[in-house]
Amino acid sequence: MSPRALSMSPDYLASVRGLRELHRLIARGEGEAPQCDALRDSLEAPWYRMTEAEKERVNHLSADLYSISDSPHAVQLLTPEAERGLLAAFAARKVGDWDLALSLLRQWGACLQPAELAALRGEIWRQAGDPETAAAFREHAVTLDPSIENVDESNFRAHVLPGRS
Amino acid sequence: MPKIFRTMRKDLDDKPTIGAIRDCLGVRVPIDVDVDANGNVELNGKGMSVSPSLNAFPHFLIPRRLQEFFPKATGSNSLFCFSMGDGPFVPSGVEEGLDLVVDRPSHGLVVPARLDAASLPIFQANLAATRDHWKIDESVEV
Repeated sequence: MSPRALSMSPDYLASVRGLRELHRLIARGEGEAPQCDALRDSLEAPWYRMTEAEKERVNHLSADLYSISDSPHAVQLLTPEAERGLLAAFAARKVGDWDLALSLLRQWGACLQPAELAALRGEIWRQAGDPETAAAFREHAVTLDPSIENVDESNFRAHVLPGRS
Repeated sequence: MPKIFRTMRKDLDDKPTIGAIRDCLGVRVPIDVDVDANGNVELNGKGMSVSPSLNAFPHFLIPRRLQEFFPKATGSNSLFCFSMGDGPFVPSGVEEGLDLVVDRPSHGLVVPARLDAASLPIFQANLAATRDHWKIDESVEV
């Protein structure tokens, strides 16, 4: 069975669209501007109509979007535990468990290069059915490393692991 | 009295700003509450939103300055996290004329406790009367 895209309610889509715009304004130093407050106001009604799973997904996405505007993380040592965690993220992506894949990246992604992590997040969001969020991460990945390729499990095993272990 | 959290703007004395506008101690009609033809607040699942913990807030209600502790935070830095009470987050009385209704484990509503406390001016006054009980509480529980 091929992985299925996420089911996205209109309120979820409005929340994610607003969230991306909020992060864009914050990144431009306009986090206290009136339009930012207006945007926060607009997020309130859809928020309380979303399911708990959707709310959790949006909250986690908010944390991940800061990786676009914050300074790139310092790459951490790839321990055996981290390697298992990243391989589990690839496995979760393969079966379409997008939330688990993103959660494992949140836990272990600091062992990847920032561009690799952004590219991987972009690819997961693309497969999950959110091309706009995917593009945000993909563009960030290319900004960090114009030669970045898609990071999949075989690529990870062939090129990333040997260089880090 | 249940321990409840709410993010609000603050006055110079570090107590919440009272008002019927967003991020204040009070309710907005019809966003937070509906009012019937007699001017009474309808007990219809609406009220002043509160949460059992800071982390239960949506990302846009947690000030960005707390991002180190709450990575999702996108709220205005002019918001402050307040709490009052010290009991469990269960349906119970909050203060004179006010009850806590828990609609989800992560969310509750402060509503009028009785019909004679349900007129909008009385409800707003009862909410305002809790002002001194709120304290800024941005500690991170681990």
